[in-house]
Amino acid sequence: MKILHAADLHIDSPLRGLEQYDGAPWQQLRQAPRDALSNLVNEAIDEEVDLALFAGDIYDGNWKDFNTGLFFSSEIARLTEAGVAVVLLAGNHDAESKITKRLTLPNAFRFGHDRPETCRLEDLGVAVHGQSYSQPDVRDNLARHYPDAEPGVFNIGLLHTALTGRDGHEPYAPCTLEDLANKGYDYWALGHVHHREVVSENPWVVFPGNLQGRHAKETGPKGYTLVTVEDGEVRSVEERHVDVARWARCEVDASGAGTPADVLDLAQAELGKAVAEAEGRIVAARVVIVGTTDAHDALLSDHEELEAELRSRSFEIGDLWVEKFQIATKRARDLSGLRESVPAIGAVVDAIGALRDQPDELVARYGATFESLRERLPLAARGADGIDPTSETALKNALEAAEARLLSIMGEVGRE
Amino acid sequence: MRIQRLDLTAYGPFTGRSLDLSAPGVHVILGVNEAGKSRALGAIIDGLFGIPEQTSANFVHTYDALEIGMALRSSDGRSLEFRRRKRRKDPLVDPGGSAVAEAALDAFRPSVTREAFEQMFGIDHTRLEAGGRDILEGRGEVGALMFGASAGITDLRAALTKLDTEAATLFSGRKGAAKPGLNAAITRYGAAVTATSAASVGPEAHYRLVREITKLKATERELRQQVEDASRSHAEATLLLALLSTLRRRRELVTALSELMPGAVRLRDDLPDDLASALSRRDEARDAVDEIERRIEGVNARMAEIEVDETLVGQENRISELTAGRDYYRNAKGDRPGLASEEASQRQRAVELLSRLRPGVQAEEAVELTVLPTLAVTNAEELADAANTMSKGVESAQAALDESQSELGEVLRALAEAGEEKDSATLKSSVAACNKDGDLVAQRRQVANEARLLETEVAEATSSLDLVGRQPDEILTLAVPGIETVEGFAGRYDELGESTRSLENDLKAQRAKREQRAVDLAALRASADAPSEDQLIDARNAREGLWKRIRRLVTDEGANVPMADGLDEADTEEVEQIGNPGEVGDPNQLAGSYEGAVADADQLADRLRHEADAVARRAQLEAEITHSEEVIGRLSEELNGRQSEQAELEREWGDLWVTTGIDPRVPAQMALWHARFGALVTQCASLGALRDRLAALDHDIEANRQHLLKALAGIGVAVDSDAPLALVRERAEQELENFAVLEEQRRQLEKDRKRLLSLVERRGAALTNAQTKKDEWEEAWSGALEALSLPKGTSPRSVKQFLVQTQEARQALKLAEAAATRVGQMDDSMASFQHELADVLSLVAPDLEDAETLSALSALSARLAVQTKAMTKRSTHQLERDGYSAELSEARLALTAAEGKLGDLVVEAQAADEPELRARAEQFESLRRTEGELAALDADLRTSSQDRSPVELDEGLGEADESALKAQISHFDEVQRELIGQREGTYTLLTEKRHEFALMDGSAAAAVAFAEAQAELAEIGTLTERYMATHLASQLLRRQMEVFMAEQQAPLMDRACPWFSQLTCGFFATLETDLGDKDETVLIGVRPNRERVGVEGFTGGTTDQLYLAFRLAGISLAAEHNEPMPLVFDDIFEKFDEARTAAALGILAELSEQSQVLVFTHHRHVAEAAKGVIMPGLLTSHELVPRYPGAG
Repeated sequence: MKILHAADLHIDSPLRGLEQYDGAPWQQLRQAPRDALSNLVNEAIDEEVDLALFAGDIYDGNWKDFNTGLFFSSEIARLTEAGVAVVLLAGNHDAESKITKRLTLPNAFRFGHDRPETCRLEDLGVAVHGQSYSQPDVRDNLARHYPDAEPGVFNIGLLHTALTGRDGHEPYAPCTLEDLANKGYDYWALGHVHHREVVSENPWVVFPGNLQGRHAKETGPKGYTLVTVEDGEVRSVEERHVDVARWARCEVDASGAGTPADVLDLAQAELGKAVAEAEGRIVAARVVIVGTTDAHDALLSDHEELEAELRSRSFEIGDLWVEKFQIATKRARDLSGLRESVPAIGAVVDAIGALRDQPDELVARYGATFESLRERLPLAARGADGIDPTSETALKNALEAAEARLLSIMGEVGRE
Repeated sequence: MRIQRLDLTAYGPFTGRSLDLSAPGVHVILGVNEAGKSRALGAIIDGLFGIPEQTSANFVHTYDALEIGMALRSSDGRSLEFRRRKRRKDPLVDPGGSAVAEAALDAFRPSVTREAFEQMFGIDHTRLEAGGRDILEGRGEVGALMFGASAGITDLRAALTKLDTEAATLFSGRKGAAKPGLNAAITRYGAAVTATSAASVGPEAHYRLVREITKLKATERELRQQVEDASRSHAEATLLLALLSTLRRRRELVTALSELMPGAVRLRDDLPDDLASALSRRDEARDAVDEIERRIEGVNARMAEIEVDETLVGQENRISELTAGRDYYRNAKGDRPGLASEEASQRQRAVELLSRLRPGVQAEEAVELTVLPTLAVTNAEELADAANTMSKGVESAQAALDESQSELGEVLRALAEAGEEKDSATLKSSVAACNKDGDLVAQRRQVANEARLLETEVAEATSSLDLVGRQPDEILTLAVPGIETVEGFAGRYDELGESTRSLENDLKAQRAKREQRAVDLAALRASADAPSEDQLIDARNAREGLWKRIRRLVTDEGANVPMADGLDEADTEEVEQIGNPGEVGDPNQLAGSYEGAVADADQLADRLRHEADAVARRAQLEAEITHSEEVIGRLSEELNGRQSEQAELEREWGDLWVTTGIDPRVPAQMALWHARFGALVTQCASLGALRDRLAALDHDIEANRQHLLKALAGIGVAVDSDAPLALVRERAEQELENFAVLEEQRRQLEKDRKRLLSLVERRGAALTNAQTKKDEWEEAWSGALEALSLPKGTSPRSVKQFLVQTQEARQALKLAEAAATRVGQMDDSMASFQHELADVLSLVAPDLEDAETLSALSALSARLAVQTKAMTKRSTHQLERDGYSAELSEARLALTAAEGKLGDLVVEAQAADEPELRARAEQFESLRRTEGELAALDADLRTSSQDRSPVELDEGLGEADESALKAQISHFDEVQRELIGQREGTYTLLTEKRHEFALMDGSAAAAVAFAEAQAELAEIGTLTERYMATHLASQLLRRQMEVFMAEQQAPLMDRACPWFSQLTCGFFATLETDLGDKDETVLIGVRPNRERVGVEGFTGGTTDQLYLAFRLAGISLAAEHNEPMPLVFDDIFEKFDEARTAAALGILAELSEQSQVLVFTHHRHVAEAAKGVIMPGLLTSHELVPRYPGAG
């Protein structure tokens, strides 16, 4: 028997942070989460999978386009028509989704949210236990109320949880590994955590990760887990990749680089590695330049031109989207001496240093300067992943870049 | 920090030069442009901060040979001496060669980078100009000026403008501003969000649509049913209308049947047909019997006339077979002799062939001898075929072996002749070293050509500049006045000339004016005397008196009134005065007198007025003449003064050039001369560099030549020691080529030797192998001869011939055998033919027995043909008669049958006889026809009504007539139309809803639109960051400029103002600030007379001097609190005249008390000027042009 275990599909949740530019592979990526699901269904049919489990967060809660549900329904129909039994539940993202509540899935079993239920698949000799979220913020230990394993069948626990907590994920439906082990199930199919993790092999407790990385923090291969069961025992647990695009963080240590051109060469090499590791997929890469370097000010000052140059070079490397060229370097040279050698420039550097050390003063003095900009920005641009021009963070970042620009203007950098 | 000493050990054009810079005060370093001065400047910077990876200082010395030495001393007394080389490892070493850490320099150049040093402490003419230009473009805006000058920035204002422009292209806070990138991205984001909403579908909408579609489908179904019902009713009425006539006919038939049925006898349905058929057949049979009996009689009569020979006809088959064999008999009889001859001939040929190998053989032995054992024949043929190959194999192997041995011998001889190899390593390395330097001779030739061309140009320029006889080095050191001085003199010349010309023109004009006034006055004086005023009064009185008389005359109406009575005393006087009293009493005369008096009075008045103007004019002319004379006097005096000034200026001008030995032309011409002289100096400097390069090349050429000569001598090749490098090099390369050729030959011979030794060995083995194979063949050949019973020693060729001839003999015997068999067969056939013919003749034609065989057969055949013909005719008649007999029998049978049938029908119809039968049949036929028509009508009705019952149709019709049916059809038409309209409306709505539903197919349109919105958000983020950085940079810089100005304006102004005044030679007394057009603080120059001039009114040179004043002020202020760094000035006096140069040097001397001042120049007059301005103890002069004699 083959069991497919997937979670966190987040269908139609867009890839974030991908600024369009000439030559970027936009067309190939704009439906990536859908394409990843289609890949999964194709593989399931080819592999002649018997049971498909979806451990929650199939949709985003605030997403209102019912077409998303219809698309999912059509893909589920492909599975059931091919003889695959489908069992799923709602997680925190789709607990209150109108799509989840209204959509009828053909021949699929969906767990309710009032209490734990058991879906018995007599033909397969399988009992799947599970419970959907009734609301996004579930703080109860749902697993504790799951029934004990049924004798003589292969018992699976389907659960959306962060266990005892996982970085970057809300601690919903908290439970311990012991809670799970005590139920006597053969396999716990978990969802919610977007990075794949085999938490335990006895019993098997697995997060399959999400199907498609959607932003720069969701790097690496993404897909589902294929479980093979023989004679009522797990024989293999395989990681299968169905992602369309792969996010990569290319960290470049510029410590040894003297010029921006050297840094670009290093970045190009890192991008080449990322493309080689992506198994032929498009790579959405965030290039982060770190280290203490003489090129710090030039990198910040010429940031725009360097980003354009790197994006231009990326076309030679392969299917690649340079999402961001981020400068996180430190200045190798101590500028404090400028006070003595060039007092006028030293005074500028000192003033910037003072603002850096006193962010309140920075906000008080320059926050208002960007008030009109803030008013014009859409709310989403100022959200959690966006930028609020009057905030301390945004002003501090701007201060660093401004310092580099001024040093360039005042002749301290950028000369041969 | 001060540079105590600068060693140009190996750098740029310098080798082993050293500058002692330890003396206090100003150091003026005189050097030629580019080749020397700039390199020395570069050496200071490279010495302090390192020689860059890529440098152009290597055109004499290679990279690894570059070296600069320095001795430094800090203000706190520390010192450091080092040498810097261009290498990655240990670039710094102390005088003893030990490595010195780079950090050791930090104490002497604390926190100063190479860029900062160049920016802050290096000032050249270009930077000075750029700074001045920025001041002018900024209209003297104080903030940018002071900050920029203090930071050594020359284009601060432009940079600020660029920042602001860039920010403006990114974002505008104005509503509706769409052009900036961020505003546009925000707009695009809004559009994408709207597109997302438009493409999204909620679950409620989805299910509402599902409900609507379900409802519409039910409505549509119901309407469809109603339409169908109406359609059916319509169809029913239409059908009845269409069948109306048929149904009426049916009703008639039913009535007719009911009338027929009581009297009719129902017969078998086909009885009437049977009756008609039987009657017809009986009549036909009677006619046939009669006709056939008549024909039989005719045939019998024709048969009785024919006779036939039955015996002859009985032998017809045998005669036919004989006729068929006649051709074979005739041919066999002709061919037999030829075949017998062929048999004998082949047998004879076989015997002859066998006799060639086995003499004396008999014909009867022939067959046996031609049979040979097949295996022996095959074996012998194969061996015979291989015989030639065996022989040739041995021969060719022997020949190849001989050839290889011969070649090997030749190679060994050549190797012995080639002898031992010589050592050419030294020669190779010498040539390689020579090649590495490139074609030095060609380089020298090129440099020499360039030098010659330049010499020619220099000579031409020297001649055209009136410097004939002056050498280039002399020209380089020629202290000609600066261009500013020359232009100053030109300006003064022009000014003075202009002023003098103006005075002369004024004087000339004034004199002309005075002359003109004098002429006018004389003319005025010469004009006629003017009348007096009294005369005018008298004339007017006369006119009035006359007028009074005229009036009185007119008003008193008469001449009766004595004239005298009418006049008072005064009137009388008037008349008297007029002098024409006699006319008083005559009115006509009186009128004439009055007119004359009026004209006189007017004329006098006019003359008097005219005279008054003339008097005034005369007085004015006299005054103007007096004034002109005064002006002329003053102008003449001024002109004299100008002439004296001109003389003084010319003397000064001449003195200026005395030291140069040049007789100057006027300053304007000398300004042009000066520009050309500048070019000449550059040419002279270049010429010097080329000459240095020539010397270096000569040195390298000689070194290479000596090395090559030594290497050639080392291999025993003697070359003339005076031979030029090219010749020696050519010889060396030739020798190396010879070495290479000999080596190659030797290598090739050795290779051939090894190859041939191997070949000889292989070919020897091949020969042995061929011989062995030949022996094995000979043994097999003996066996083969024995198997064929042939004698030993028979050659393969003979054996092959033997086998071929044996085969031919065997073939000839086979042919002879075949011919004999054929002759026997012919003889048998001819005898059989003759015997059969004789037998037939004896039976049917004994008269032909004696005739020749073939003739008898022909006659017999002719007789048989005649009898066969008669026989055939009789048979034909017989057959005809038999046919008629059969027909007659059949006709008689048919007649009997027909009559029987009629009898049966009478019985069946229960009739008494045939006539009654006929009557009953007719009645039955009428009944049946009516029933048939009714059935046909019913069938039609069923067909037309889709198989409905006719009775039902008849009932449906009822009593309805045509008009009633048409009314029904019209009604149902109307109902249908109405229902169809409703149904179509419902269907259209349903189609729309279905289409709407079809769009909810899981489309990704909304998701794609949202993804596009996310992409726009990403761009908004990027542009926001970029805008913030740019705008903040601008804000920070402006604020810091304000802070800087608030803190530094006063001390900077205090220091810069007197220096600016000094640099402008007092043309400006000081500087003040004011508010500009945009309320910004701007600088104003204040002249000694308090006239205020904005910087836009400054000349280019003055803005440069303004920038310099603030630049020096900034440096001076900074040096008060920090380690003072050496100040390096690179020809900053390009646009300074002599006085301003002197003023600037004075300020630098003042500054040298704080910081070390190094002034690089290629103008000797600057160095000379320094001597005149700076105290001897504070000035050290250096020269960096050692290549030119006389340069110091």
